[in-house]
Amino acid sequence: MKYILLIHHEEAVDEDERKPLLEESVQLANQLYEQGQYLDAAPLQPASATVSVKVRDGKRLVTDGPFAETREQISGYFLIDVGDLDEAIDIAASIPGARIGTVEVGRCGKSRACRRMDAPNNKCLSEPPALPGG
Amino acid sequence: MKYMLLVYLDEQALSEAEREHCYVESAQLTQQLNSTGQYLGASPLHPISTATSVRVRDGKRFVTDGPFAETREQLGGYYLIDASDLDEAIHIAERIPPARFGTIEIRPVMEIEGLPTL
Repeated sequence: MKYILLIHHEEAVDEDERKPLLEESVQLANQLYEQGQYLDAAPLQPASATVSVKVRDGKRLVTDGPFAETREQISGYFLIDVGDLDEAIDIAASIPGARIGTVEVGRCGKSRACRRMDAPNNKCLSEPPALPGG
Repeated sequence: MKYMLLVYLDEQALSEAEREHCYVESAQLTQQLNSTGQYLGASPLHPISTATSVRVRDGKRFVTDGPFAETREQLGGYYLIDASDLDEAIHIAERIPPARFGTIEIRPVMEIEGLPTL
């Protein structure tokens, strides 16, 4: 069975604290990979880099910041690779859920703990862990 | 650049038929994205009644039913895993470092047809 684990926390974690936590996360991701339990993981850029998109009556409404209406819940996700935020917003606006709910567009950090698990060779285990911004 | 698009909905907003239609339309979108090299992954999630939240404080694990609902905290990242059951998923969740100061929301991912296979 597939599960998505969504990490919520206050952003007030300083850079010195953040680095060892990310290294630990990368180690965890590699352990999961070895056990065949890893599919994907990434940190997300801060909420200030996040926009929310919804479409009502065919009109697109884009607001800065993450989605914050507790009545609505995460009902699905798309992970995409695009040239820039504009392109991401275009795609967000074309998701059917944007017409009845809201799509939060979060930029992934640079650290992919491992490449895709269907990569032909599991090279990531022998490589030094990648960190965001590195 | 990689982006994660999180779809938020009121679960009561759609009838069963509308929901099915929404999945078909979403699957079409993923096929289009795949053909332009922009697709990495997508899935609907099972309803929030199946959600579990995990946090670890002073080495102790706290597991609660339901999704995470504290607006002061923000989404900081995600893991997509393959676990044999919820227990195994909880065990993994409690090992994620931010479980010690934030919360990990566990949502079973729904398998639907029509998504691109990478």
